[in-house]
Amino acid sequence: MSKVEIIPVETRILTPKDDIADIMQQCGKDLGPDDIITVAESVVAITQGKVLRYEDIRPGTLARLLNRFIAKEGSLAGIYGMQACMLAEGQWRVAFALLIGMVGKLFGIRGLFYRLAGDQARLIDDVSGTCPPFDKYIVYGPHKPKQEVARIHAKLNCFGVAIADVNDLKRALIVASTDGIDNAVLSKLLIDNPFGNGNQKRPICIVKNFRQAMAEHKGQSV
Amino acid sequence: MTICTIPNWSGWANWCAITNWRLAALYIVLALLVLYLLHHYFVKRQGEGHFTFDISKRTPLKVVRGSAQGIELSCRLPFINDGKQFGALIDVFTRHYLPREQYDALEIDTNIYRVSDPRTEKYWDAKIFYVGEGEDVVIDIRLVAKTGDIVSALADMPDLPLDIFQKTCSRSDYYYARTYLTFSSDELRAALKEALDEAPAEEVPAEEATENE
Repeated sequence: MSKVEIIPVETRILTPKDDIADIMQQCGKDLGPDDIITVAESVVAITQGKVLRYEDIRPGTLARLLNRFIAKEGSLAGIYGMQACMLAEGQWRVAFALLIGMVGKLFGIRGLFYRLAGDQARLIDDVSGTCPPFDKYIVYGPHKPKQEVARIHAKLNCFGVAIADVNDLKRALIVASTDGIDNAVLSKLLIDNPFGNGNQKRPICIVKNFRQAMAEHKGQSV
Repeated sequence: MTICTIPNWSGWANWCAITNWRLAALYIVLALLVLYLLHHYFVKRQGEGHFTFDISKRTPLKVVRGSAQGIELSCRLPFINDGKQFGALIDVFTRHYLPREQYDALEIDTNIYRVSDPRTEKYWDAKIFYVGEGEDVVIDIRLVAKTGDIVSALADMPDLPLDIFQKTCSRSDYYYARTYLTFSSDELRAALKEALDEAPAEEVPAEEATENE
């Protein structure tokens, strides 16, 4: 059985002028039918132009009121991150989610806010969350990620495509993937963050023989 | 003869309704006021991030390289988030204040960067610092004599004021702040003297190097 191999791919800094599907097509020329290609969610969002500068955001009263209740590590802890989330998900939805989240915490249920406030509450990166020159921007999560992976997949000859949100804190969230990919298996493979953080310019990872990895995981052959 | 008067119940009910409505409004206003004051107190208590660049701990200017035309100097100073919350240093840059009206013998260029992230392109990579966290920054100063002779160019040089600008954000609105720094002319000349005294053989001015070739 072929060995699973993760190959990070270095690129130049991608900007809203780039089409992520074209970039991944260039990177994925040698992909086989059992391989998949993954891309960092912030890079997909950047190529979609889903970025905002602080100067372009006018935080409202609700954002100023609610950001105070977010833990310091969260991207919504500042008024700009909170307002950006409210612009994407609706301010009353975010406010309601925060209220429910606080009540949930009283009863020992954690994470309710991020479950109820919408995808962007989880995916937004505040300043410094992305490598330069986007370190000075709020970067959203990708827009319609499921459609985006399908669009990219249509240009490639491989088993599948996934968008992942991975960091050095042992978090590997699969934002979207094409049909057939076992997100739990992929998440496990990406847990050590092969993308690299900061300035390493490796937004794409190829996972060779991913289908075999899934088969191994399920304890059955392909 | 009327023994007792029948009260006007409809008027009384109206009065009660209005009073209840007024009371309800009053309670709502009071509740909102209490909530506002509680939030205000919470915000004050929670505080903000705040960065201090400690100029009292600045190291003396050190010569990085020198030639007959110019010198490059460097020093370090620490900064710390001494506020009560996390803070992001979104941008930091230097600005020197020696206008040509005051002194026109030098081309001056300055740069600032974190020790952990040395850069020459004058870009500051935004970074979040939690309470009590900080780092050293390096300030580079490049002085080039317009006449080609750095010794004479520095002879009458006045003090060099240099401000460190920071764009900061914490829990509230982002803001700009500046730290005032002055390099005395004596310190600059002393650094030049040190450079000349230690003049390494390999530091040959560009024109001479071309001639030698």
